[in-house]
Amino acid sequence: MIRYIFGRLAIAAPTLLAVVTLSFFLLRAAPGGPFDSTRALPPEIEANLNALYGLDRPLTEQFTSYVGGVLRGDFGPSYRYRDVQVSDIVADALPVSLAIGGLGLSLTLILGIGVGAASALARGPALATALSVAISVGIAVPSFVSAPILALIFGVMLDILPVAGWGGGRAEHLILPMIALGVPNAAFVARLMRASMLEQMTSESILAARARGASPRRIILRHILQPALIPVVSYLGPASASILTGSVVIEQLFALPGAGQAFIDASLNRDYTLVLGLVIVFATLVILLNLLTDILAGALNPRLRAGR
Amino acid sequence: MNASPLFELRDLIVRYKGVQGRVEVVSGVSLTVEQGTCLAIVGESGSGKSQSFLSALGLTSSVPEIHGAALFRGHDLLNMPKKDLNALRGDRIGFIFQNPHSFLAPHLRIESQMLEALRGRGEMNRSEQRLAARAALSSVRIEDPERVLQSFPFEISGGMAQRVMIAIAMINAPDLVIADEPTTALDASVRNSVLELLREAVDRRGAGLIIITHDIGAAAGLADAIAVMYAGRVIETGPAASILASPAHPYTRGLIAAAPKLTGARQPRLQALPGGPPPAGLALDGCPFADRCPTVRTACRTTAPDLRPAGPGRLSACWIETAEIVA
Repeated sequence: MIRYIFGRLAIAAPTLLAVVTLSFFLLRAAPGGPFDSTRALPPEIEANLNALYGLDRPLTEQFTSYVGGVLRGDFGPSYRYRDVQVSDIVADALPVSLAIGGLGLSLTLILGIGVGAASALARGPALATALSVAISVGIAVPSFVSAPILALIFGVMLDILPVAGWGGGRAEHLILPMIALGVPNAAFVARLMRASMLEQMTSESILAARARGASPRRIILRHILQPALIPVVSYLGPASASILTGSVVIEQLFALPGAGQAFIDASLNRDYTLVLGLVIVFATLVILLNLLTDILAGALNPRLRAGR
Repeated sequence: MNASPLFELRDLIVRYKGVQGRVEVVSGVSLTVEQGTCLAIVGESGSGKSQSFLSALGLTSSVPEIHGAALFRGHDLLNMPKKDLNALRGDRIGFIFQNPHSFLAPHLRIESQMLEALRGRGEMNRSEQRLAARAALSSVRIEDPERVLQSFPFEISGGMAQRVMIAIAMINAPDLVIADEPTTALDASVRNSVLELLREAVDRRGAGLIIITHDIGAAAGLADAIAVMYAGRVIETGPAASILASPAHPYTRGLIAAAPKLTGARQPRLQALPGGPPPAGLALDGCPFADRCPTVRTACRTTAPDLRPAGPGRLSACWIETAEIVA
C-alpha cells in the first residue's frame, strides 16, 4: 500500500509539470498582455514594464525561469496588483474556496449516499418514486440556475440568509453556496449509489449471508452498503474536480472572494503568474483528491489492493 | 412434537409475479425428510427443485406468493415471524449453494463471513468464535485454516471455497442441511470429497440432508430417498436403491439412462432425453411430461396423473403401471 502511494505521488510530479507547461504556453498564445488597458500606454513605459518583469526575454527562457522559481517556492509577483506576490493572493483566496468546496463535497457525499441508499431501500413505491424524481431534478438543474433561485427565495423573499458575500466566513454566508454547489453532485452520487445498491441487493452472496443467519443490520451494512460504495468512491475523484470547476461559477454568483473568483479575474487581466499559480493549486488539489480516492477504493475493495 | 418429522413440505405452491401475470414455479410439492437421512431432489434445471426449498426458507431475491406449509420440527416456516426464521437459518438449518465463489461475498475475509454464522452464540467471545471457525475448517479437511481464514474468496480455489461453504453450514451442528447443487461447479476430483463430507454430516451428527441436484450419480451414492421433480411437481419418490434399480416413471428412467456409469467394462450408449421441460407458467391439461414421453397414451394428453403407490414406500405420477412397461 505504501509503495502504491509513493508510486502515485511519483506520477503526480510529471502530471503537474505537463499542466504547468500547457497552461504557460496557452496563456501566451492568447492575445493581449498584463499591461493592456483601454488607455494605451506610451511605448517606452510598456517597454520598461516588460523589461522589469522579464517579459522581453525569449518565451522559453521565461518558462525555465518561472519553473525554476516555482521549484524554489517562488510563484512570482502578480503582474496586475503592484507589490503583491501571487502566494499572498492565493493565501487569501484559497481558504474561502476550501471552505465552500469542502462543504459542497461533504454535502455531496452525505446527501448523495443517504438519498441513494434510502431510495434503494425504500419499501413503498411512493417514497421510491419521490426520491427518484428528486434525484432526476437534482441532476437536471445546474448550479448557475439553482443559485439565483436559492438567493431569491432565501435571501430576498424569506430574508433569512444573505443573498451574497463572504461576511468573514460566517456560517449563514456559507449555506447557500454549499447547497448550490453540493446538490447537483449529490444527485449524481445518489443515482450511482442507488443503482449500485440495487445490484448488490440481488447478488447471490446476500442469499448466502441470509442463509447463515447474518443479522439484517449486518447484511445492509457489510453486504450491501460496503460493496455498493466502491463505485461511489471511485467517482469521488471526478466529483472533486467537478466541485472545483463548480466553485468558479458559485463564487462568481455569490460574490465570494475565493480562488475561483481570483482565477477569472486573473485570466481576464492576463495576470500570467497569478493564473499559473492558481492552476498549480487546482491541479495539486485534484491530484491529491484522486490519490485519496484510490486509497479509499483500495480499502473497500480487496481485489484492487491485490492488484487484480 | 416428537412425532413430527424433521422437515416436511405440504402441498407447497410458489408463484412469482411476472410481466404476463403470475408464473407458477412449484405446483403442490409434498416431501418429508427424517433426521439422520438424506433425501435427494433430482431433476433438470427449471424443474422447481431449488425454488421449493429456498422460497420456503425466505432465501429468494424477490418475494414470491407461497401457499401450503413448510414444517421444521412441526413449526411452519411460512407463518413464522421473520426474526425466528432468521434465527433458525444458519443455526438449526445450514445451507450449501451451487457456486461457492458467487455465494461468498468477494470483499469480506473468509473469517468475517464465518463469524456471521456464530452471531447467535452469545456465550462465545470473539476468540472462542475464531477457534470455532478454525475447527470448522479443519473438520472439512482444510489443512491451513489460519491462512484460509485470512483470505478473501478470490484468493482460494473453487474446491476450497466449497469446503468453506460446507464448514459454514456445519459450524453450528445444524439439524438439517440443504445443499443446492453443491458439486455442479466443481471438478470431478473435488466432487467426490465434497459428497463424502456431506454424507459424514448425516452419519456422524445425525443431521437430515436434502441434496438438490441434476446429477443422479451424486444422488445414487449419497441418498437414502430420492424425489424426482419435473415442471414444479414431484413425479416419483421412494427409497433410493429401489428407484435406481427399477424406476417407475418414464422421466426417471430417462434421467438414469442419460447418466454415465463408471462401473462395468462396456456400457450402453448414453441416452439423451429429447426436448426440454415445458416453460414455467404454461397451463397444462395433461401430464407435463407427455410431449417427451416415449410411452405416451391418449389419457396422458387430457388429465395429469396424481402420485399413486408404485411399490413399497414408492409413489409415481404416471398413468401407466410399472408392470405394464417392464412386461
